[in-house]
Amino acid sequence: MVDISRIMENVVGLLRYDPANPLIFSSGLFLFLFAGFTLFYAFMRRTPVLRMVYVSLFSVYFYYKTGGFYFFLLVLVSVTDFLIGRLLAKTEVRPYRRGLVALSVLINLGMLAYFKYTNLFIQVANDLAGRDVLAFRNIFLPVGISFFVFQSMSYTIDIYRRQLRPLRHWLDYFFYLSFFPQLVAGPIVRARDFIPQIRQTPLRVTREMFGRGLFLIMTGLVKKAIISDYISVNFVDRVFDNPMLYTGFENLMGIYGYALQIYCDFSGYSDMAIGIALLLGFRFPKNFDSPYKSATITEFWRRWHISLSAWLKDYLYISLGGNRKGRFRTYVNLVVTMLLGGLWHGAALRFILWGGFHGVLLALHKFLMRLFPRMKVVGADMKRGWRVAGIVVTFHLVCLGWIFFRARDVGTGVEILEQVFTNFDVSLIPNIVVGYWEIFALMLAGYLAHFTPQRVQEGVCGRVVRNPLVVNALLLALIIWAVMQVKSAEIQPFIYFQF
Amino acid sequence: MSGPKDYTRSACYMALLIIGLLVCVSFVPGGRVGHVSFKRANILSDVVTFQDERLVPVSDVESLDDPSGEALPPLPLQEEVDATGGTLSEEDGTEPAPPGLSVPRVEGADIVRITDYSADGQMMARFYHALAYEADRRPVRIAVLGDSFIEADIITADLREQLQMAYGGNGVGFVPFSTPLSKYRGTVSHTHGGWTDYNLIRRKTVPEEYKEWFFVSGMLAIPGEGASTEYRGVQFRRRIEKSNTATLFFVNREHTQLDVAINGGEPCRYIPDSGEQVQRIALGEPGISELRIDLANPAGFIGYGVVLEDSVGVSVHNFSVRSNSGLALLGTSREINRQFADYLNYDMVILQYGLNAMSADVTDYGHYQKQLVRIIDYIKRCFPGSAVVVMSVGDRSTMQNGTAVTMPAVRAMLRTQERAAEVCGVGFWNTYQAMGGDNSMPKFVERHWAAKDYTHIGYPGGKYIAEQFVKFIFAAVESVREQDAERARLEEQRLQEEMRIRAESLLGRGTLLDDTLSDRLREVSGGVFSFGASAEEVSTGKTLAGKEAGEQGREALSEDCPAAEGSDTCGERVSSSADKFPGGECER
Repeated sequence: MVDISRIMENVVGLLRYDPANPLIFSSGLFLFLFAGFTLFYAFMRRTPVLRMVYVSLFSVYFYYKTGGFYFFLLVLVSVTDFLIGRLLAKTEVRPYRRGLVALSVLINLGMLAYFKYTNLFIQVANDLAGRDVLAFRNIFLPVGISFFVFQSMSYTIDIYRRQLRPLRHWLDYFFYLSFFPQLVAGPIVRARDFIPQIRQTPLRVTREMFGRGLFLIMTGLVKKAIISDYISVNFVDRVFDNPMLYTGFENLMGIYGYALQIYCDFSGYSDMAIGIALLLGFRFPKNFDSPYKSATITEFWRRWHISLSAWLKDYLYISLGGNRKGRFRTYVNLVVTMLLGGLWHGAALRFILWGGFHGVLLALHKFLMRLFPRMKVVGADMKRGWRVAGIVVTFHLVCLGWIFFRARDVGTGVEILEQVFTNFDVSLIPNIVVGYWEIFALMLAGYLAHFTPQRVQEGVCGRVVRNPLVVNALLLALIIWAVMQVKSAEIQPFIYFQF
Repeated sequence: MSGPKDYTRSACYMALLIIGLLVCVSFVPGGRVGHVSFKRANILSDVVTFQDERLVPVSDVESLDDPSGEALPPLPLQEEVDATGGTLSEEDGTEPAPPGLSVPRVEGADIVRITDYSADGQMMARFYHALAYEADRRPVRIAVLGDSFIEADIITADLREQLQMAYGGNGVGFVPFSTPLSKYRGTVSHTHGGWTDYNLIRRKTVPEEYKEWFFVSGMLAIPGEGASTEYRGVQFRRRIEKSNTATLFFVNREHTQLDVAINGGEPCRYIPDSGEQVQRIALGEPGISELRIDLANPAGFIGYGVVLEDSVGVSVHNFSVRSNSGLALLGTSREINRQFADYLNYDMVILQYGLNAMSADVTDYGHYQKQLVRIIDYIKRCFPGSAVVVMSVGDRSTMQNGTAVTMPAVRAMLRTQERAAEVCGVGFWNTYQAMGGDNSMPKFVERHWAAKDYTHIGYPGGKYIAEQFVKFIFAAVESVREQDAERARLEEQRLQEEMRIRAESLLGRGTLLDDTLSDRLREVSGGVFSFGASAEEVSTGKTLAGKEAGEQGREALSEDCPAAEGSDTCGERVSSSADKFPGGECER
């Protein structure tokens, strides 16, 4: 009945790297691997070196399962930056220090540029030349490179700025850089936040940490593997592929759907990473703080992908001069920082445009705050009515940005807007809602959950913290079961309403 | 115990507990709770799988995406048979088929065949014969009736291009006067205004007075004041930008006038006679690439569409109706279909349905099979003499643990459709096989040949499928030509042998005649030998019978009118070749 050799074969196959199926948190395989990992981890509370070796090995395997043999890049970066860090601490000579940190930045950004942006450069060169002067290269993008490169630079730059003392042992540094919860998709944990926690002895996971970790894993799973995956495959992707086949209402729902999708996808994965780290005794800073509650664009960037915007502010904006070089220069710095922030998201012009769009909005907000001193920076300082209006306006501005972030090209983005404004067709709305009810239900649930007040969210988290282990296990198992249902759900067929 | 409890171990306990729970749950098979069905959740699916096959018979097949489906009045098979006063066999309408046409023999594992279930394979043989020998003297028309799978001319755009490149012909075929889908059709640039469209699928919303006027195109265009429609040829595919004929089809119950302008020229006014039958205005001019039609006195007018094609060669007409499982065809008017069949004489009618009768968890389509048999039978009656081919559903995917795989319902539907084709004695072509068989749809989606609903294909996907279909047709026509050539060669040999024997007996000699004498005898007895086609004539497609028919056709459709004086470009005579058609006249 049960073929043991077949099973063994399958297991071995699973443990090997499969480019078509990279390892992700929301998978059965990870659950099993994590169970095995934590079994031994628990015995290493008082032996930091052994713990570091063990976790680093597991992190390397995790990287291998996600991105193949490119883990050697990770090792390379950790070695070079560790050495540069030590050299930086040993010398006081200014130009020499400058040279070292520049070297670190060069190596990191150079690697990133090569792997991620070569083809973009080639495309731009070809476009400028008017013909195909260069051929595209087939360069594989190593997983997580955008993240660990930034993390590594935060170490050397902080040492250069004398805000951090370098680590004594390479193992510590490698442990930090390769730590698997944040390795592949962030958050970008800065060296100065993580390093103090590396050698904690004994390792301590409090009840609160454990409960919160579970809570974050649960919400992360629901957000990413239920809400985001379902509405993207069954609705949002379709609309963005072919806006003209959908009414204006459907396009509008597609935009709102994408806004929810990208938030749930990104923050869900972040939450799971933070949650898993908590389970292992490490605290990461929050990466998303209900960003659509923002009443201004400035506030938005304090709530969205916090680790990235903080990194950009500290290492790019401030390095460019921040707001210390006059008003005009401040705006320029803002726009440049955001342009590069956009570029970080992907090697395409549309990401740069998206970044620039946000940069301009940020500069505009700063400018308006000068003109109207009563204008506030964040919603919490505003009166109720203004705050609500601000939230609505900010949300829609952000959605406008998302359209061009997601659409295949500018033309498609324009088509979407065209459909919304010229082809809305109110009469079809009831039919559409009925036809796509599962998707709209999920969207509504997602947005409602997003807008629940912070104290309610904390209240639920507190509940999870207080739950006995078995109850939490049941809850999480139920959520995983639901995730599996979504993975095997029938693909929503295309419905045409515009008769 | 000093200090608060440490929870480092708890992560492991938690993970193990969850694994235990989920392994238990994986033994629970899937089921249904109210409207919601859930699948077996197998956490070990990458390692161990369970057999999960459910056969759920269905008594009422619901349409896939029809928000306002209305059940058609059931038409018992008996009634139809009595109404025609005939039987299920073909009726007279086209020229009688010559007996015993060559049936193609096509070898090759990578070719998807049109399986011909007709008696002796003669139904499809007629079609191949028409393509082989008659395409250069008359239009060889193919009607493709389908659902959203072929909408916007998907598949048919490439079917048309490839057949026209091989066998001649120009023009995009049938275009309705107006349709909500005109923006999406890439094969013609179509703008229109002032029309109300009625769709066969939404019978409920069609006013009573129009319910019985539907053609298999499934759409009616009812003009309001100032209704107009304009077509412009495009280069989306080859050979569709221009055509040398344009024929308008409509019913003119009162006194509508049509102003037709070709290629941006002066409009020509047509005042067709009033009547209850389908009329046409046939225009012939080399290189029609733009056509504009304006209506005056729209009351009582029922518009179908315009056929843009050449007077010879292949013409492919796309009749797609969303949500149609095929059943809606039974709501078309038998009489209207007949009148169209008289004008258009389709050599082949392809039925591309099934998508809207499929349901993911249904694997028994016995009920649909009966309906499909009715549909095929109805089409055979409406278009007697046409070769009917059932084009099956393509591959369609469902998600299984995050991967897209072929829906079990697909295989069930394929069996159903092939069985129905067999029962009715028509052709069957397996689209699923042409796409690549099992799990071929995900590959289509990856290449952007199909949409992400893993159900509908796009133009590139349609091109691939059309290529597979045409591959077989080419091979079949070649085979037919070869066999006919062989046959003719053998026939000529036989006749020569016969003649020689006769000559011998005449001359009373037992020896063989020499060549010169036999040549002389052949000249003298000319009539005997010109009856059958010589080997050479067959292989170049010129037979006497075909030649005559072609000439007739040419006269009917493309006679040039004498040019009028001055800058008056209106010179198109409306021709009629059927006497039940009262033609309009071009008025200035």
